Amino acid sequence: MDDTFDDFVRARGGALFRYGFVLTGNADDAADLVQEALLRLGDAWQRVARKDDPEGYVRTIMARQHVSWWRRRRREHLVAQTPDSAARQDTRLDEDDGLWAELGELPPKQRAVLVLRYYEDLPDAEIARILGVSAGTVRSQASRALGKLRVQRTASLMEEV
Amino acid sequence: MRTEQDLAAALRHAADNACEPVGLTYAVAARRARRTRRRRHRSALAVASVAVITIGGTAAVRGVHRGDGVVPMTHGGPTVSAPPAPGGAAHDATLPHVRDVWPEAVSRIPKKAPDGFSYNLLAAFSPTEILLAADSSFEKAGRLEVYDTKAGTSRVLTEMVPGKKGYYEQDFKVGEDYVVWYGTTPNNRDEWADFWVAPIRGGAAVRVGEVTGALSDVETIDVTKDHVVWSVRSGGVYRMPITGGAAERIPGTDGMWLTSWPWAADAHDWRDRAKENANQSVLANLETGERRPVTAPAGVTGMRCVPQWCVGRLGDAVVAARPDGSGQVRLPGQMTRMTVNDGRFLLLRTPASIVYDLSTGTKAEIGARRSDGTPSSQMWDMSSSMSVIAWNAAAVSTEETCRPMTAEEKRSVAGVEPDPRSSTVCETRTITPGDDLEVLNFTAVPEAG
Repeated sequence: MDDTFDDFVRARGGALFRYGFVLTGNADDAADLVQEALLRLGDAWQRVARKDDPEGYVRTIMARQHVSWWRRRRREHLVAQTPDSAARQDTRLDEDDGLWAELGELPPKQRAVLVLRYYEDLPDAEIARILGVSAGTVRSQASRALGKLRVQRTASLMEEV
Repeated sequence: MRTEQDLAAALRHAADNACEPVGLTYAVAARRARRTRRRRHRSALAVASVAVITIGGTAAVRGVHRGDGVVPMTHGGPTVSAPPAPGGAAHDATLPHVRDVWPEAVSRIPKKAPDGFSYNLLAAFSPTEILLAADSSFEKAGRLEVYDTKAGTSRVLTEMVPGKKGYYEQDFKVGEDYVVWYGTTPNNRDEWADFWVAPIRGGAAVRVGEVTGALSDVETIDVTKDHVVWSVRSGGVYRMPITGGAAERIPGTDGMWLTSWPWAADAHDWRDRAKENANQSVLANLETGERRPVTAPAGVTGMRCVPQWCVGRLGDAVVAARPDGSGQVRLPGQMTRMTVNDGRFLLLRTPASIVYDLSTGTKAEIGARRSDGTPSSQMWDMSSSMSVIAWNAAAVSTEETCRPMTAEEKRSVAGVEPDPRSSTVCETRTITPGDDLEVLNFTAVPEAG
């Protein structure tokens, strides 16, 4: 049991960490988040590996945990910028940095909704299931977050708000 | 106006540049092993605790209670075998503690100054002295003190000058003539840092100067007899005269990072995932201009060197070798940071935390004892300069309190747990009794042989 679990962690740990990084905004909280979620996956490994999708399971736990137990640390600022930002001149990438920094100001639920929608590419109904909220809540949280970030919404979204 | 594509690109870009920590597999295995020990310990006492599931921080969910009594969860259950640490190293229960191996290097320091300021360990000052910050409030240094571990007394080195709102002192480093530190305002977006020195014999702190932009992204700081020197995250080593003046890049340091003056490396620290697998290829002495090539043993990645030793990864294991590639040693544990302290010491997890002396092969456990006798590998703190490590002097214990889940917590586990409707959440708090810390001063460990 532990062999296959360890293999999973070894194979998917990096991708899960990157997901944790966009959820939390910093490497320390991302490492905590992914470790906690993997511990829970380890406990449920036999059941989950047999009939569910372990990666989906652990990503769901991470998103919920981020919303529920999110806490800001003083250290967060240290990695608030993407690591190589100082070296870059490209205006498009500077724009990335601005957005990234502003994502850090969002409440955790709003941030989670944006990560699930724009990083995980999930439909709102799936986001609602993962976060345990209604699809309407997903839309309103996304709308508020996009507004704060001054991101132009597509026409279909505008209609829903 | 930004588009949704911009947002998706920014998220992807951040993810691609996130620096994955070394040893995630290992960290998870080690934490599972520790929880297994706790679980086993408790199972004799409480039949109901059939499963412990850590949710976040130190909170845990356990046995699901239904109206008709206690029903075991259908998954997980007690795991009785601790996963072996990668590299085949099992926890060696008989490993001696560092206080028994190098008694001359381990001493006690009070947690608080007589006036109630809490001590924050900064660095070794000498083999018998530790540099401390006496904090007036959370992480606000009021003064620097030097604690004499032989005499058990402390003297004030300098009073700190209060900074502007949101100002925090960051790393401190003890040089030959000065203690140096820098400060930033971490909770705003200003790219700004200032540099300070205080004479090692005591006296007023002097503000050397300030920098903005890329130069303020300080990663490693040090001090010479006439300059503050530092390297920045994007590479390059800079200096500023202690007597004041402009910052300048030290020639030939493009793509170099300071390790400890006068040495610099051409490989970046572990936080940069894109670069962490690259091997250092040269040890550069910024004082003499010497560039000493280093050779990575076959298959080694992420190698980092000091003049005496290099450490790197070989598959799942960590190995050390001399800078010319000879004398390769497979280490009995994992490292979270590829750093050789004081030219010879490594901090490894086996999964207990141990110090490994490369010059002799000596291993010693660090950290507080637990009152139930199990190892307490997580209970230690390291100074930013990594020259001292401290832990609670008295045995620590954990106290568990349980309560029903809140509605939000139930939502967070709904659908991924079999039946969380009436689960309880148990929080484990670590009790650190006593007024003293036990401290290992690396500079006090006797020379090999």
